[in-house]
Amino acid sequence: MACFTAPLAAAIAAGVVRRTVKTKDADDPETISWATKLGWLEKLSFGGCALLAFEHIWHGEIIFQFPFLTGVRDGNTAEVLREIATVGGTMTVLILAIWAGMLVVSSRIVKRKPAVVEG
Amino acid sequence: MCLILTTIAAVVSTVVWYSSAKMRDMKISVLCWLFWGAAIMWLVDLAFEYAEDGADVFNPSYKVAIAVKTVEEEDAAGQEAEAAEAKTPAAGSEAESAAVTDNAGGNMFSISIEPSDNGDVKFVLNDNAAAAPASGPEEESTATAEKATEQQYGLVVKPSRNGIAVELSHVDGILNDTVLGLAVITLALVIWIAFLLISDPKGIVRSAILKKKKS
Repeated sequence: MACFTAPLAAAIAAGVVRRTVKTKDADDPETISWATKLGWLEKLSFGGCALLAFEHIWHGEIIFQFPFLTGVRDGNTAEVLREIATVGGTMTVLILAIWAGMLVVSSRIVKRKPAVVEG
Repeated sequence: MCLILTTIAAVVSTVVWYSSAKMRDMKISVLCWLFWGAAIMWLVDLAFEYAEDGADVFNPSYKVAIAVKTVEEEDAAGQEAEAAEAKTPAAGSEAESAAVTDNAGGNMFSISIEPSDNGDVKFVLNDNAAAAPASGPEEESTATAEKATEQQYGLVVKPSRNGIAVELSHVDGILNDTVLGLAVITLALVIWIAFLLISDPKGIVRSAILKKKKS
């Protein structure tokens, strides 16, 4: 119904933090800046939300007039909130977990010696 | 089907991103973020549906944007105008009505279950073109309603715990999901093209505009 709003909120929060951190980050070519790392989270969340919002429009769960959600219009606000908390919350947690995995892997790749190109 | 198509698109775009420096310049990473983000979210959605409904979620005819409401629920929601359209109450009976809507939320038709005189249940399609017989035993009435709706709308009517369930027929379910998956991929490609033209990494749009200005 509106499960994508939880990761959308996370994406907006990541965007705000990224803009704050961007000014403080030192330019070190050997490390990945936090602005870049938060940018990954922002893109992953926004990307998923965009396509999920489209799917919700396709299924008639989002409408283009107030209150924009058919669930709320039909008086199922509690059900909508429950879905945001459960499904949306899990989506956000999984996105964050995958992002954390990306951070670990990317830091190992950066630390690794560059491959020697033969030829 | 939508999840499968999106995941395939995510894998393909990631392979292209890894293998082609030219495509990396063309901001193919935008597609990777879009597809992977959506695939992760749909995976969670599927997991929750599986926890709730079991293996039924893998049935292509399972999920359809329909609204099945009892008369009591509609009254409670205060949607009297909609309910008036959907209801066909038999006088003094405990009739239940289901409004079947299309993807845009528009009413396609409605069905009511009414007790008949001989103690059976009868299904009545409130649609002029596809009306089930107004009387007869339950099984016969169900079969007729099923045939009428399947022929006209690709929908299957079945008795369920709540009264009736309306599903897309098998082929239509697959088609609906496939078209949605393809539409999602198309939307992602449109976003990518828009991003590419606006960010203009190779300055092609800029030079084209300037060239036009000069001439």
